[in-house]
Amino acid sequence: MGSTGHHHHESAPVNLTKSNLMFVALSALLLGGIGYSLRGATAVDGLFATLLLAPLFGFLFNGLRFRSPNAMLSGTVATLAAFVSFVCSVLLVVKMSGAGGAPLSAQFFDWMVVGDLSVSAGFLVDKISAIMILVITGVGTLIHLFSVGYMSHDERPSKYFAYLNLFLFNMLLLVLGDNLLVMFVGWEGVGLCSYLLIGFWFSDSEKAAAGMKAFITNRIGDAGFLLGIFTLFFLFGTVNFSEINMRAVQFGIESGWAGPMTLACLFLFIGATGKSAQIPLYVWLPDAMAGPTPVSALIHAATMVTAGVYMIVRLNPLFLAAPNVLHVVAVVGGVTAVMAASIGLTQWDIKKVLAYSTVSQLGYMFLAAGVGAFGAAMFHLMTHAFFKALMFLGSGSVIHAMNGEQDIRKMGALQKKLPITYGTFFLGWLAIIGMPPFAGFFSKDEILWLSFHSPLGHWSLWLLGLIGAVMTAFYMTRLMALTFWGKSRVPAGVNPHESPLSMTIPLMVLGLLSVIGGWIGIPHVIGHALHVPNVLEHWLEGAIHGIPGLQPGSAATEIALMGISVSLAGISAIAAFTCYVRRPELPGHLAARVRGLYDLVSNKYFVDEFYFGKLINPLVEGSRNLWAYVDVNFIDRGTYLVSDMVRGVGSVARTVQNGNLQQYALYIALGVAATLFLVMR
Amino acid sequence: MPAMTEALLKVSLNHYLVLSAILFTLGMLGVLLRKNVIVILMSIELMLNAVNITFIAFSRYSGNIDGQVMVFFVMTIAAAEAAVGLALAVLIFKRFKEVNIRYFEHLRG
Repeated sequence: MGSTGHHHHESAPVNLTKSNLMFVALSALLLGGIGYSLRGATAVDGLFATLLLAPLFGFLFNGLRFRSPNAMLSGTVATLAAFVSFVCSVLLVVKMSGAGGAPLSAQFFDWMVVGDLSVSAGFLVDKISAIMILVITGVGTLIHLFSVGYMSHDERPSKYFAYLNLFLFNMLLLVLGDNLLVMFVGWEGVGLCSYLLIGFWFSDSEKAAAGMKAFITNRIGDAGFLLGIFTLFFLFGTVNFSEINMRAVQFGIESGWAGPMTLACLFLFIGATGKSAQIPLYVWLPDAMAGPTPVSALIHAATMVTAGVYMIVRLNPLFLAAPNVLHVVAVVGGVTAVMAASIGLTQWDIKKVLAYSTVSQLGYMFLAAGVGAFGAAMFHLMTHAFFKALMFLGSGSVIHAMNGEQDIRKMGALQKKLPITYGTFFLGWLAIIGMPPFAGFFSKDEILWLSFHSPLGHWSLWLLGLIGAVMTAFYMTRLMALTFWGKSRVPAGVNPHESPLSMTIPLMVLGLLSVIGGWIGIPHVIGHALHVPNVLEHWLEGAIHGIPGLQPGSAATEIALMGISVSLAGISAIAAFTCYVRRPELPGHLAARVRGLYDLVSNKYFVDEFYFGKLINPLVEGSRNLWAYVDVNFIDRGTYLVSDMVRGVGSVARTVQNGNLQQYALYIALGVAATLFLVMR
Repeated sequence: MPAMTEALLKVSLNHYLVLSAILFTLGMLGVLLRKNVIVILMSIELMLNAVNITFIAFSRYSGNIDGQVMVFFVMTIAAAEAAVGLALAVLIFKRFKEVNIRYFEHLRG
């Protein structure tokens, strides 16, 4: 880029006019597209079209001028595109709840009609996807805004914003699609954007490799997802969500392991483990932190990684009809929550801690879905989007201030240098460790309570959740302590400074949401005394099937469990505070005491090593051998044989065509004679 | 000349067709066997005219004038074909001082 940078400055005015022209052309295209899709259509169709096309427009605008180094223009257009989508989402949701909560849908065209398969480009906003689009476009807009400041020194901001807008478009396809295939298009699209953005600084081969790891790991999950779609289509003859859910209810509950619905749900869940980073496919998410930090906040914390949870919630009647799969989902979610949290205890990279925390929190969402508490899963999805996006953006602000340093051992005492970042991060911290009345408390508590109380749950699942919560409180407090509190370990020559307003405003908004975001789902035991309703539960009634056979729980048990989890988390946080602020020498001693265990955990249980040693390398080696022996000796030989035969026959046939005109004439004569003979016979 | 008229009346359609077939075969043999381009062109004329005889004979036999019209077309095409063929022969002669059909093999790419 260095050599071409000069050129850019020279041609900047030309670029501007060119991009202006392009803007006009694209606007015309966009308006034309909207106009076309609205021939005699309703305002709802228009809102859907604008909601989807605005980010696509931003992608085209920035993608076509991807060489431009003008971060301000790219960022403004991209942020505006996201904001337009947000406004449309709000209007759609208002319209929907105004109409009594009936789902709004738009059918733009028949996408494919092949035999029994009929798929339309249909989109649907119901109460489940309403939460998703508000989170995606709302948090998305804030993160776009944050990126304007964060990427201001980057060499290729236009490319970055183009990818970001493309991601938004695909994510909206994913959540709005009214059938599995449209969802799959979005599902693959967000995977592509994730790959492009993780490897955004691809000149660093480690970052490029992280992008590929994410892409390939996701492909494994996607294969499962596709098989799930095939199975469902084979079983029900449709890929439409509402029809699948309807038919699943008609089929009744499938209690065995080998039934078709169980199989389909298992396949879909494999897809979910890939996208949402659960055991065994979670390994890509920590590495995905190689991407720019706002990307980690948007894609790898708030939106894309929740796609798996969303998919299961979207198909909740189907999953309820396959309770065995729900048990698998719950156990995988619970174990992932604990395992990822334990790895988070030992990480030194600020983003890695947050990444493992994300894996762990996604585990909670699956735990909730697995015990049938789909509403709680959506609730935690939403609150997690707020506080985790906040913490990622906060870490971005810290990294920005530290000139790219991510090691928390080289930080400390940043609270005075970065007051706004610290203040908002503090709110996120309280939210994630589940302190009332912050957002995370309500959602996590609901999950813990229902995993204990639901007929699909079990006390052991609750225990897993509790252990995860205690660990979460510990590693998050450790992160706070090492980053913002204690003594400064900032190397000389680095002068941390508070980030510009475009970065702190999103932090403040998300900080506010991390405080109040949970108030829409206040549990009855508390809400009853305070006379506040559980807004979210009422909201989701009808859209989500209730847990079958759920008895009203005892308020005393619920309060007791709540008390246990909050007090244990509090104790854990105080312990972490003691370890890392009061007596900084203590953690080292403790780690030395259990050296073996510590090494096991801090090396992430050697899962990557296991995958490479036992799966990937043997596979690569086996493929190499297949190529060297089977391919070269048999397949290549076979094809050469065929080609030689063709060539031999050809060289014989070639003698016929020798340029001798009289011989040609003879052929004609013989041909005529033969024809005559055949005709006259 | 009643004998003459009688003989002419005995000439049936088959006679014409046999004559035509003989002429056509002769022409074809000429095309296939002779090397001189001019002779080949003449042989082609022979084949075309053998066909013409067939046309005329059938036209007369069936009392339909269409066959005779077709003959005019064939003659026109034959004239055009002879013009092109002779031009080719002239070119071959200029190049090789001979009009042997084998020289056309040099047109091969």
